[in-house]
Amino acid sequence: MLEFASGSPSAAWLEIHSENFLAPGGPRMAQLEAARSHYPISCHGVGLSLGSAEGVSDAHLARLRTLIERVEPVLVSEHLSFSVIDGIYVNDLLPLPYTEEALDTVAANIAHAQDTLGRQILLENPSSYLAFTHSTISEWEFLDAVTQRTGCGLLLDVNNVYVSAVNNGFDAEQYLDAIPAHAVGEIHLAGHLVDGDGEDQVLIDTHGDTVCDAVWRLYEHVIQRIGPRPTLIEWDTDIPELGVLLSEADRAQDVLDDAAPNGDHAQRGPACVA
Amino acid sequence: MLRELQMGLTNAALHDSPSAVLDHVQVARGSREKRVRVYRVNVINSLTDVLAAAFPVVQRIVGARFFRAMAKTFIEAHPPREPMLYRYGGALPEFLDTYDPAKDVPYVAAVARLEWARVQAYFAADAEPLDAQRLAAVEPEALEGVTFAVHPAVHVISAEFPVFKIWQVNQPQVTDIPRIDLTRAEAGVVFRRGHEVVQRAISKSFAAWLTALAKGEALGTATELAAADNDFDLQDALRQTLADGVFTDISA
Repeated sequence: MLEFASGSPSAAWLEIHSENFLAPGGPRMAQLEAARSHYPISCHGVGLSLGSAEGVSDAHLARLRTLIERVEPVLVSEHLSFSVIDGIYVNDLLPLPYTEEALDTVAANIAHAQDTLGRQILLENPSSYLAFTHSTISEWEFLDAVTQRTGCGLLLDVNNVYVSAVNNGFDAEQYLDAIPAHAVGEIHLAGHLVDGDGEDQVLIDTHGDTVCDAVWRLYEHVIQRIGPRPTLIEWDTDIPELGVLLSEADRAQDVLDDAAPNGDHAQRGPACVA
Repeated sequence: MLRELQMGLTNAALHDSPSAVLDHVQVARGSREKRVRVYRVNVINSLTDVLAAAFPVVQRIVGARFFRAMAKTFIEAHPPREPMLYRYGGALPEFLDTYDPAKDVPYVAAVARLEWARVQAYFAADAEPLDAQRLAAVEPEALEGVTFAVHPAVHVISAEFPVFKIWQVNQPQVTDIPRIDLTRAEAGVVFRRGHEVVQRAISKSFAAWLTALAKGEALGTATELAAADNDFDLQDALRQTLADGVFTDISA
């Protein structure tokens, strides 16, 4: 965040992890205040636990509301996952079964969050390392149903689609062809880790590498289908030299430009600033 | 069903006990246990990294391997209760007080207290320091009754060990660690100067004075308390605290 406080790096917008910016004061908040005078801000949350059976925390919603009032973000997003149970926060985006019960829970939680925050949330599809036998519908059907019930938008993470597709054995292209195009308000791209060999091989979402070719192809595919969307390259572990990051961002921009040669709404952003 | 499943996956991730959830897990290929374990590894590693960032000197003292093992035990016993991870780790100093494997480094809990004070100082609310002129304007006979509001970033430390010295010689740039007399107690204050967290070792009496003021005691009472030690110098303490922006307000 420090490097963006001056406003000098070229970026169309910045994304922050909401939970890193809920302190009452101090240097980090001051840097955010400075950066927000130069760039539109997107608030990307990881702590609301929209899938929690016990509901979302009103205390946390109140904190997010304060941040939103302070920052006036252009986008607010969260994840289709859970991370809180009995008040314990496990700091990971744990997967949900795709059932009627989970759909009722997620829809109620999102409706409550949107009411409290006074605005639309974009819901991000997670990276999954397993699925549940209870699931009765696919993830894309689940996302479609949630957007219809709550009016929320989608933050489509193409790398997460790919990671989950490989790990859980579904067709990533079928997923991308089925999601409701009008609901997608933002796209994430990222690198992942290929862990293990043979049948125990699993893809792990690390945000620590370049975007792989298969994910670039899926990104081109979905942009051709739905048109340009604000796109962010997430890279928050083993952060490379700025040049590597910028060339990833340039490649995304090329895809957006190809889809809308004269469009000025195709924005890009730098890597997610923690 | 949803709640039971969430409880099961949480127990697998936090306590490495996946038995309740395994039967409900479906994977495209390979071992279900290994897939559940990805979440276990993510949770423990990410929270360990949070603790290592907050307690770098503790990690340097005990070593990375010891720190990771200690962190795992701590995380299982004291998982986060809120998603703002910059506030995670406040229970670590007390945990270290009774953490048996660390008993050979009895000062490590005291060092952890200092490091936690620094983290809290960094994220504390902003406030304008007190203008010294306001104290100067108080009538001499009213001075004893003055109470002070302390800046939110200020933390007073009183340790049985020379924690400020230990902290200083365990900074990354120090390669040749001198011998330290570990029997010497040390007190000090942590505060923020602009955007920088600063710490200063102070006398035990100075710390007692500042602690009393922070609790809302009047200047006269705090000074009497501190003067029990012969080395207390009120003028010096006032000059230092005003220069460091320790106070934000007074009421006479």
